[in-house]
Amino acid sequence: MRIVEVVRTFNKNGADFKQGHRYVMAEDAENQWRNVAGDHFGMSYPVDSIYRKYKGEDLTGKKLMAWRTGGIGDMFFLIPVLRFLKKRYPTCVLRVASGCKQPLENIPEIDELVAMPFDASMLESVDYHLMFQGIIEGETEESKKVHAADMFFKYFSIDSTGLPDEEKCPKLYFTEAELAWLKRTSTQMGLSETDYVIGIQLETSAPLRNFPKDKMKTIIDVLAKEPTVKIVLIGSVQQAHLATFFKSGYPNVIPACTYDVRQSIVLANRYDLLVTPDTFMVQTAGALGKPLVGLYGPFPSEVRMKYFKNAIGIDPKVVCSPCYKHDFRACIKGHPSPCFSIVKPEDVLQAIDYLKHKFTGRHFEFMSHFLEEPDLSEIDRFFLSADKGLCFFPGYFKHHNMIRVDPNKFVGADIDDLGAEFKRDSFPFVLFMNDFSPKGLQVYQGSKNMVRPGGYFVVYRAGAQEADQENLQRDIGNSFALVFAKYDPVKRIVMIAGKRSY
Amino acid sequence: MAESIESLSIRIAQMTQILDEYRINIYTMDQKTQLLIKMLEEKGIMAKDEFNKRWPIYLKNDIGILGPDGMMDGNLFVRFYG
Repeated sequence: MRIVEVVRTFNKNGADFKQGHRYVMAEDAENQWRNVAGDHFGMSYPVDSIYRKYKGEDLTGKKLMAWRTGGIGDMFFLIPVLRFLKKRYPTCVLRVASGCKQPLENIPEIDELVAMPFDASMLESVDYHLMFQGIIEGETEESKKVHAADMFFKYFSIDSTGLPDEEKCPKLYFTEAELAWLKRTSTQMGLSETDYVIGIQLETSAPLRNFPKDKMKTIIDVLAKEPTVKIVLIGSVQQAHLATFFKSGYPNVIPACTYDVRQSIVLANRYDLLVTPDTFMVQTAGALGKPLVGLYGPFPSEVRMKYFKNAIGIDPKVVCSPCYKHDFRACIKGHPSPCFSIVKPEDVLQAIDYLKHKFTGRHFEFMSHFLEEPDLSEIDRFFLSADKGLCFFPGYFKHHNMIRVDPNKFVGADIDDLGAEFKRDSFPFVLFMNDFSPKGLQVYQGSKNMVRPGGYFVVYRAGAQEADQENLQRDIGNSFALVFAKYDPVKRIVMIAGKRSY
Repeated sequence: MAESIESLSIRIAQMTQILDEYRINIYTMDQKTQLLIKMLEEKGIMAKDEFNKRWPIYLKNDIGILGPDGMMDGNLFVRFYG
């Protein structure tokens, strides 16, 4: 952070530098301004010369100035800290400067909010300074494990360990004019009171954190077919073209790429649910308590979303993720970031449905695919045992005599972790259903060993072909005595049961 | 030459159409790329090297990082907050 002297007044390109004044700005901002108008600027020096760092002193009757260049989402983490300080020292004066001050507008704890670069005389008129650059960018081991709000508290020399989660959560404040604008704009956008509005943030400021477009398109395609659902695509003007691609003729998909950051934050009040990669929209949704699906890759969602209510973070765990990269480039391993390769559109859709069901009590229509109950009437005699059997099924189906095992966390499986809670190794019957993906096949092979002597191994496969019956029959026949085999060509269902010998 | 390029682009368009039918099962661009390579090789339209020259960005993801199913080796964690 530098103090730069201005030798000639310069007020173009949104800047207002007055001759004879000194301005505080980041190093890269200084470089940019010197490139644009070098002869307007004189000497510069580090801010350290007049920096009086706040180290947790009593702020009663004192003034504190805190500043940070950006980004927009990071400014949210400052809100709980300022709230805490103002509560502890009601007479203190808090002055905040930021290059991204949109989330901080109207916050009652802030006495003065200024944009960066700001006049260096502002620093001289306060008692303490705090420049909080580079705290949460993953440069320290601590920032990889500790929530960003806690990092900010620590930087202000405040012990946040005992604070309740609500006090670590940001809050947003809106003026009446803003709320009136929201009402007007919602009507203009065609959003009615009865619509279920899903806000989808298209992209982040860094390609590294962007969710793959083809997967996002699939998610939008599925959601757009839902009645009473309206989808608002949130983005900047630069993303308008992408929004047009995502819209692709759906009348209920509404691009909202002409609004500035503050307007986008105000608009978030209208959304019933938000889906967003790691951007300021995550923090906006958290601050407003909106149901939220956060799509994370380079950073773990925990250090950004832990204190939110009604939120789901989707974290791919691969060899290089989380990598804690916080720059504005694409992933060095290729774009889109390969960590997102293990996030399927279905995972995101199920997260969206989970939150909708939690708050409205209703599923989306696309979920009927997952909720469909299998017809087991022809094979249910194999499940008549005094002891419960196992059922491997990726869906919502439940049976009174089965312990359902499902690797999919959304559907409320009885057992999540086979290693921890699952102590027994043999069951009177094992039912394996539907999942014949490469991962599912591993489970299939393993599940055969869980049948006790005299027990049944039953396979139910929907959407199957006749050849599947032959293959499964041959495979099951190797380990069990076949007692039932049927292929229904109309429903395309294969059902096979084998008995383990004593 | 012009004719062969034209017929090539028509055939690629046809294949893209076929690929679209696989959409429900195959989501990732990488998987599509792999399938496209395979189909192109089978049809003898374009050698793999030629394809790699044209789509280097997919090649990066294709080799080493992503497995044969188009995914990295790992697990997905779904974390619930609040």
